[in-house]
Amino acid sequence: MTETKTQNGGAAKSAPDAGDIAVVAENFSIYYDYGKFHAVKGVSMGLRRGKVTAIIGPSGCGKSTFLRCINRMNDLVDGCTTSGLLALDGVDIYHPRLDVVELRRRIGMVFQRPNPFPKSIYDNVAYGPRLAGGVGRAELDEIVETSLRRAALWDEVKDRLSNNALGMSGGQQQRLCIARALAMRPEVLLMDEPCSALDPKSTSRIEDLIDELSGEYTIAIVTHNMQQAARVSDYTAFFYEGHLVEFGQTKQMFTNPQMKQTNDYITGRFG
Amino acid sequence: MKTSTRKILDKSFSALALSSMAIMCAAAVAFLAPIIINGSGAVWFKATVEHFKFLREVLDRGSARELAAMTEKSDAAREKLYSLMRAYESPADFKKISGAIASARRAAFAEAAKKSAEFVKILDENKGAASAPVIKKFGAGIFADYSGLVSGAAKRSSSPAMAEFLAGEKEALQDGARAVLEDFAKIRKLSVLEKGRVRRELPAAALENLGAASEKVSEDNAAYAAFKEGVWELLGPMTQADKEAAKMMRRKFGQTRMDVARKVLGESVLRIRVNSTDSSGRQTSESVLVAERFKGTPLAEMAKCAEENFTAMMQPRNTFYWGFLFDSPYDSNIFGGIFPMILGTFYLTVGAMIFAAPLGIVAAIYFSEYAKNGRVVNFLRMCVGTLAGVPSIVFGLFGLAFLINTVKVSESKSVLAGSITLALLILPTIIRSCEEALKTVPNSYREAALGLGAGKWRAICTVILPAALPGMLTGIIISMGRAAGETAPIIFTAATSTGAAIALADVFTEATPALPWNIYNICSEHEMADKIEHVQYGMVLTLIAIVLLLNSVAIVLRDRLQKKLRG
Repeated sequence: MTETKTQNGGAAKSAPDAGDIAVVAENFSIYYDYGKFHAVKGVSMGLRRGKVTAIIGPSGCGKSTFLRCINRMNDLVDGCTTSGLLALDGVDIYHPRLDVVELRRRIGMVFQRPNPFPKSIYDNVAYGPRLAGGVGRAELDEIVETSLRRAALWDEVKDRLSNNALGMSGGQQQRLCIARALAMRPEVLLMDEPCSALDPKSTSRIEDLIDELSGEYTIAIVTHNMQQAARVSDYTAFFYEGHLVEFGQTKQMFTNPQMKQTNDYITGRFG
Repeated sequence: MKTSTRKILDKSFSALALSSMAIMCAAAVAFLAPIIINGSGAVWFKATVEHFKFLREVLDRGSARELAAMTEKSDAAREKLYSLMRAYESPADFKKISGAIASARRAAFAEAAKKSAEFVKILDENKGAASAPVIKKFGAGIFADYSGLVSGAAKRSSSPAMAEFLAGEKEALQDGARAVLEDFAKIRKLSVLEKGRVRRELPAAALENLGAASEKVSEDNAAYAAFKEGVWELLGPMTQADKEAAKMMRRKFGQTRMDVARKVLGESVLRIRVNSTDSSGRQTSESVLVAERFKGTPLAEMAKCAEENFTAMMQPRNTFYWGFLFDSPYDSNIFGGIFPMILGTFYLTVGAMIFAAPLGIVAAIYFSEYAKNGRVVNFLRMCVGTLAGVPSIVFGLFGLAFLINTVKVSESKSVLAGSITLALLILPTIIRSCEEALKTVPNSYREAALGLGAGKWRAICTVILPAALPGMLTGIIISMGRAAGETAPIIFTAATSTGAAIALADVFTEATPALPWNIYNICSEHEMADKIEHVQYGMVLTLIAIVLLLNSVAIVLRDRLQKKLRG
């Protein structure tokens, strides 16, 4: 990592407010199908450290694609290519010599549908640390407990840590997935519509959780739910047809959007 | 469409589906029921005293005291039949009869010598060929008593000794006729032609009578020999000496099973095959009922005795012969069990798994997790698909031509060569089923694992394989069932029809008997196929049981693992 960092020092300097910004995108484009389809077009924005950034936009606007590129989950998609710069702490995420595994340990991700492994609750949370290795039994117990407490799940599951995670409710499962991501002690947490498969009560618990986690983690959350974006985020980015239309402080964006499209979307004229 | 029409459609479809399922079930029952009923008969059956003798003498099992009690009872019953047979073979009055016949012959020739003058006169009166009938008539007169005795003896008793005696009488008659010529010569010198005529014609009538008698005796003897052979087949050898002289085990013991014994009684004792000449003069053999054909003769009496004492002679008793599964076969499966075949099937199946499972799993992981849709991969997929469609006999030939003749994994047929061939046969199935199982693992698991910083290989090992395990195991175990039941690939590469169970260390060099091949063999090539139906059914049932067992293990294992995965 250090080597890569020095190599890409120039890139880091070019990002505005580098100290304050964890992830920076500059003229970043994403193509599917070996360049035939231009999904995200020249996006330039930054995720501020310790803040929650919401990414909103109608279906198919590229917001999820953009989010998944931040920890290179799109590598799994055949024919997905990128151009431009995307950097974490000044390190080019798409540098060919970058260790993707290491990157993903620093950028945790929570998916749209809760996807715990078919293992025990304990094993789910311990999965990441075990992969990283070098953790003793006692330390692992501690990590599991802290992560579950962080995800506000500890009290509900502390007596049945050895039960299968798939036996939990959907909301619990999603919080478990958050705990699992937190157990890696990531710097950035990406959330891809984390509440879309959940009922309102579970949704509000997750939102509370995001609130608690902000400050400590840099969080990017993709959501379809405008109210949710308004409630939980500090910054909001509005994507439309692959373009970043507007990016700014949430309060300002929802009260006084600069662009007409943003206004139309927020007020529900389309999307 | 109206609601009522829709309802009728739905109902008729349900009815169709149900009836087709009912037909399937009925077919399965019709197919399995006889196999299960007859197959269990290989283990649980009514055994005769011969079965216990076999166990005691060959396998050193069973209680000697009980056997002694059974043998005593059966021997007592058999003695009735045996004494009849002995009486037939050496009749008590044979010496008397044979002596009487011999002295009658001597008396007849003495009389002929006495009547020399009378005889020469006949020759003088009838010149040339005209004398022949007269001489014959003259002979018939002096041999009248003798012929009567011979006919009577042949009617009363037709033991082998009698047949021999009658053959001797023929020569004695001819010798006697030659001797009496000298007496005639004392009266006047006879010409060569005359001598010949006298020699031929004097005992002609007696010889004709003798010929008819000995034909009857030899026919009776052939029938008795067939009957005796049947009794041997049913009860085993009559004497200890016969038993020791017998080479094959089937000649050392009688029928061990009551059902087969009853069959043998009906087919070879109460009925026997006799030779007969049909109208066109061809020799044929036909099966006749002893009681009818030989009515009133000692043979009919023997058959009646055998029928009446049948149960007492066999001493039937229900028995559970677990050794059918654990004993070696003796005398081409007529006695003993099928252990070497079961063991061979086990070796071949496990061997095939050892080769096919790792290869198949690795290939499936490659296809499902690593391969991108390129030309090479598509070609590989096509190869796997083609391999799955190749007839199994071709795999067998491949095993022979490539593995044994070219690569020389072993000198000739061996378990190793058979296992590799079977492995190749089931490999496509394993690859397919494992790939399907891997594909059913939700992509979200892969994403989650990778998102948590697992490398691809770690993600496969820690998350994807465990999640796919139930499906993979099911596919593998069902393929095992297929391997256990395949016949064609092992014909050329691994199977022998006979042979003992082989040790684990010999699997690299030795061929082995195996259930599928031996089922074919003892059903179609066995010389006594109709007498060992229980073994055929027993083998089939065992094979089906193995396959069903494997399949149910697969189902149970999958359910358990899935429950564990679901939580």
